Amino acid sequence: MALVLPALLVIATFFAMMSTMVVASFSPADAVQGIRTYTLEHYRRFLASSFYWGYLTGSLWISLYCTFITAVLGYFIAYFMFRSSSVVRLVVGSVLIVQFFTAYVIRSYAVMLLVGKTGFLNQTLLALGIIDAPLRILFTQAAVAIGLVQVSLPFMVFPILASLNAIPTNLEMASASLGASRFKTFWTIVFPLTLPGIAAGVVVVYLFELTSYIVPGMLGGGYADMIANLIYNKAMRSFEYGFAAAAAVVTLVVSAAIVYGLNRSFARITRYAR
Amino acid sequence: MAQVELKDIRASYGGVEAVKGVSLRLEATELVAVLGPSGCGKTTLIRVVAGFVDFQGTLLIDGRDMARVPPHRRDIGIVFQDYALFPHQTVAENIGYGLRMRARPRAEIRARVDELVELLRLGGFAARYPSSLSGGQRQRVAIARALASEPKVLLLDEPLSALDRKLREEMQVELREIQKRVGITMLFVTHDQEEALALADKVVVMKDGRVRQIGAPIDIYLRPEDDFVAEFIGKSTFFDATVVEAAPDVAVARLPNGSTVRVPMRGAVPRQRITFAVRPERIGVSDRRTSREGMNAVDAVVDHVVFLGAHQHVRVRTAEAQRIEVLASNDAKWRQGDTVTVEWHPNDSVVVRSGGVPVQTSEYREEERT
Repeated sequence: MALVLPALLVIATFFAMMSTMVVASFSPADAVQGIRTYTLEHYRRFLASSFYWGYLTGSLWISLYCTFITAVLGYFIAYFMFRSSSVVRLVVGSVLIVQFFTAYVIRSYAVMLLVGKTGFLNQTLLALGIIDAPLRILFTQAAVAIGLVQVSLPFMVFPILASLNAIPTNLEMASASLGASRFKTFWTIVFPLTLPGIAAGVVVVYLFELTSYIVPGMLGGGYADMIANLIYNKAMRSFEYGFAAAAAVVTLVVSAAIVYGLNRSFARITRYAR
Repeated sequence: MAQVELKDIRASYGGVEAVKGVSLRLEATELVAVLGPSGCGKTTLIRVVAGFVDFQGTLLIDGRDMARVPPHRRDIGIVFQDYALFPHQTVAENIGYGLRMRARPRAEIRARVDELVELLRLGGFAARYPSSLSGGQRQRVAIARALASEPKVLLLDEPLSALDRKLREEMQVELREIQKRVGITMLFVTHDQEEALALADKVVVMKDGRVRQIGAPIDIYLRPEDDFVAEFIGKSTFFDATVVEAAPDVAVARLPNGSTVRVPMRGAVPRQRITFAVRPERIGVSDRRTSREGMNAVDAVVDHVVFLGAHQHVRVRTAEAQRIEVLASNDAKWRQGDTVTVEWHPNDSVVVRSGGVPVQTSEYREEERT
């Protein structure tokens, strides 16, 4: 009993936080202290205005394609590490881990330096004569997308690498002996067996990107805000707690539905393990 | 149905030279076992034939040089120790994999899969995933998958070692029958001598990357060419002796206790030091010297007796502390401390080492004993 107590305390705290938020989302903006009334006005306001729910759908969309890009790039990196010698694997892994432990603010700043008007990317393209004037990347959705992918790559690489490592080498030899070329072996054996790793990465990365705050804040510069930026602004700048809470609850419900859906479909791909 | 020829194959695995010049020939439809302790290079040898390890030397399959042929074009089936079934494919999909990779028509694949499901008694399991099968069933799926595209050669890496004893014996019989029915050239590696002797037409004994002896199971067992083979295959008692008299086909040698024994040996030289081996089942125990004509006899004391059901294992010790292992019938009544005489026929002893020069043992003639 004593050993489950800490967990119960933590869970109770989480529950209290959640219920406070849910209660706030139903509380009128002009509530008088001490009198409990409930209203749907915040939800109505949020869902009625395409300006507001546009933040949510916009966030869902950018997270979706960024998750896809992250998955593709992450797979290449994981596969490269998988095929490399242990030294190369260690170096690449260390680079990923070091950047993983660096604060998002600093990593986002690094991306700003990279894609800014006088940044490395523009200078290189100018020097090569590919463009005449600097590209405007910073403070657009493209910059946010680059930032999101960069920040969330480690969440994708490591689960995929783990699932690659879990494939017995004999399977590839068996496949080759049965007449499959390297590419066919990859496509029919290796890739399907890494789907659980991809699934784990996708769920984590999608939720992580969907709720990003610092990356769109810094790299979007207010021109490409995501749902978390809206909630922050409403709660901390205009003090519309009830509205912020309603937006958060809607986001939460949508995220939960997405995770449920993803888990359902991924469970179907890995049904062979049972 | 192919001939496989290995000529002076050398190969490294994990930075170590694991195969150090192996020459070997498999005739079509022959079942050859490579037998040796772990680390003797037998798995590397399989990988060389399959194309997964670079090698020096010559590897010919049906006379064709395989040096530059990638694994997926060698037309070789492999059954791995851990079966290496594709976990995300059903039994039928696993079996049909090789045919799908060769882009055969669907109807043909289905027919061939059905045929193999039948041959390997996998009926009712075709739609299952490997994770829901028992070890023996997985084994059969692995064999079916390897046979499906009718490879020239079937390689098996410790095929039965993951099965329990009873299942292993059943699978030995089954494997042999399948091989007869399909008529395929088979090379399998094992560290289990019983498996090798029971299954193979020809046994290759390997140690430290080199071949120590190649021969039919009966030759390997009854006429080991050196002490390693005699020790590794079955049990043997080794006797050190000195040649005192040499005849063309037989030598009289003196044991450390002074008694003399006769040993089949060609080209023996007096004072030559030799080691010969005798199998436990060829040694008899009696309570006094029967002095049967032509038998070798040594006095000893019973050390211990273990009842094994079908027979008894008796260990005796001479005054010089030489231990002798005997396999006696299960009604023998020896007790620890009994003074006995152990006897064996000269033709049941094999010289396995002699003063550094290779020896030829004289012909083993069964009729001599009767």
